[in-house]
Amino acid sequence: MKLPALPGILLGNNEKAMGTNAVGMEPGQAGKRDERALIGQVLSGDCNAFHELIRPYERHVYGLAYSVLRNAADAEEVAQEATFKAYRNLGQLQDRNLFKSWLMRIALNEAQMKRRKDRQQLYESLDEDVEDDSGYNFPKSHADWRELPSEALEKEELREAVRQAVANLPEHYRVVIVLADAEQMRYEEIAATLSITVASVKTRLHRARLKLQESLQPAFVPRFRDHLAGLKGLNPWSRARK
Amino acid sequence: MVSCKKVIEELSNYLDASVDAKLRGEIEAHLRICVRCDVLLDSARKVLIIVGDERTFEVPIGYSERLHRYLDERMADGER
Repeated sequence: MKLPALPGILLGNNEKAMGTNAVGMEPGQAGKRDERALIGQVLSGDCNAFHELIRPYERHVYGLAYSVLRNAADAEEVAQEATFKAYRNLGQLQDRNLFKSWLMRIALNEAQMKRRKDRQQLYESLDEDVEDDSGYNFPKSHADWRELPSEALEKEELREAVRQAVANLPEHYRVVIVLADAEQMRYEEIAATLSITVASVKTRLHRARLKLQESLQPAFVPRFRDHLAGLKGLNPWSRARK
Repeated sequence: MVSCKKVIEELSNYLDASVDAKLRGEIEAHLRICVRCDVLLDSARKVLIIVGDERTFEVPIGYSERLHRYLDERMADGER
């Protein structure tokens, strides 16, 4: 069974900080010089070069829009509009090395404008101060997935429970966890996208992960209790204890 | 030996493999005797595997094609 790579678990922090992946290079970094050249080509009137320029980032743009809007159709509409806006305003990009975070900020602005326009989540804000409370908060209750066999992680039912739990997080946590853990963006890129510090990205991500555990507990217990009872003792994820 | 408080504070760093070897050893020693922290960490690891599974937050089928077609249409309109 193939499970997805999770940066930070399968990769060390230094590798994540450097933005490397299994082949040792982050997609956007792989062609940094080419990317600058592509930007030059687009600005010289070569429209086709723009398609190549944005191809590595189109999934990130959608993911970011989806994390704000929580609706696939709206996220796709915003991704299209944001990407075209990047094309139209490419001449305003001051540092060609920062195209990705510039594009992502456009997508974030578009998604937030769409949300405001549609009057969703009037009281939610990415700018909300979320760094003030102290760090130690053991979840009141949390999912116990110790006995969950690796095969169960492949179940759509479990993915849907996680999707719902992420969707129910406050926006400032939701966006960070989607960008970091689903889109697997580097913390530095997320910080640049959200105009916050790397330390704030890490703080939000930490709290988002804890909140996710808390919110998954009720969803998990009734759905998988029976399943687990039948699989007790067969957990390949358990660490060997001597 | 580190406390539960320290383990929770370092949960994300531990999952990101960004704690040093000494702290990692101390956390793992704590996990061997603290069921509550062990449950939390092990479950968090599994949840993150699911979040990182591209099927969990997959893009809609045909998204890329529609995006590039949209760009072509807008570019063809001469909008710049």
